[in-house]
Amino acid sequence: MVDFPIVANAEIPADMARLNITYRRQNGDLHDLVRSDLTNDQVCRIAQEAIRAGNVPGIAKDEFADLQDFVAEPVLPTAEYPYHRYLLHPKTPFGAHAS
Amino acid sequence: MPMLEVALAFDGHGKTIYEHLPCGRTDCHIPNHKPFFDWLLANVDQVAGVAHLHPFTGLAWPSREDITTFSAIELGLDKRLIWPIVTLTNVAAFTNNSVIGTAGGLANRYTYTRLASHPPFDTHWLLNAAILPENT
Repeated sequence: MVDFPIVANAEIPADMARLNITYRRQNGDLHDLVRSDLTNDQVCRIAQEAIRAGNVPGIAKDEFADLQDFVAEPVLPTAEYPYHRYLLHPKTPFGAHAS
Repeated sequence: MPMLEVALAFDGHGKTIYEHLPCGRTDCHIPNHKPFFDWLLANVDQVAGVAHLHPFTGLAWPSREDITTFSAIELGLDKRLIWPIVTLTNVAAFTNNSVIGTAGGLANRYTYTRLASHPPFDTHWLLNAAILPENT
């Protein structure tokens, strides 16, 4: 077994991002960093696989996790969080698709 | 009369506990709005359902966007809700009877059935809140 060290927030490269996930009343950060230029669909798939495998601290393993209707909100670095983040949460629009 | 889509969240007694009027609404769309989900999550034990208005006459029936939003919000909350839809002439409420976190829940994530009767909620507020002031 190999231990993969968790990258400290202060050492996150500019082209990488921390992925935060809200799912089934739980919230957690994926240990692994993700690229900061991913599409919404790519972020959802990564998060879905991670939850199905039980790899998100703070979120219980769920082999039936389904995040295809979630939204990955990209957040630029701030003073409090000096690195790129994705905040993944359920989408909330109603009605017709936005044009 | 120009109208915009609006929504509200209600509790188990039908009392309105959140008025959803985000910027960017149109006569056929309410945009994605993370604060709305954050509020639902913070008040998940109180929320029984979310009703929204389709500001036209005819059948009250969910769009594809509606159904996928119902499913996503319920997954985020780990709770099934009741989803009434109001038109200018009809009201209908929908729910999903499958269990979240199971194979059945995954297979039926978009299977919403119409309830025989809708729960109490403030249809009048939805209709009034949707009306645009004449000077906008």
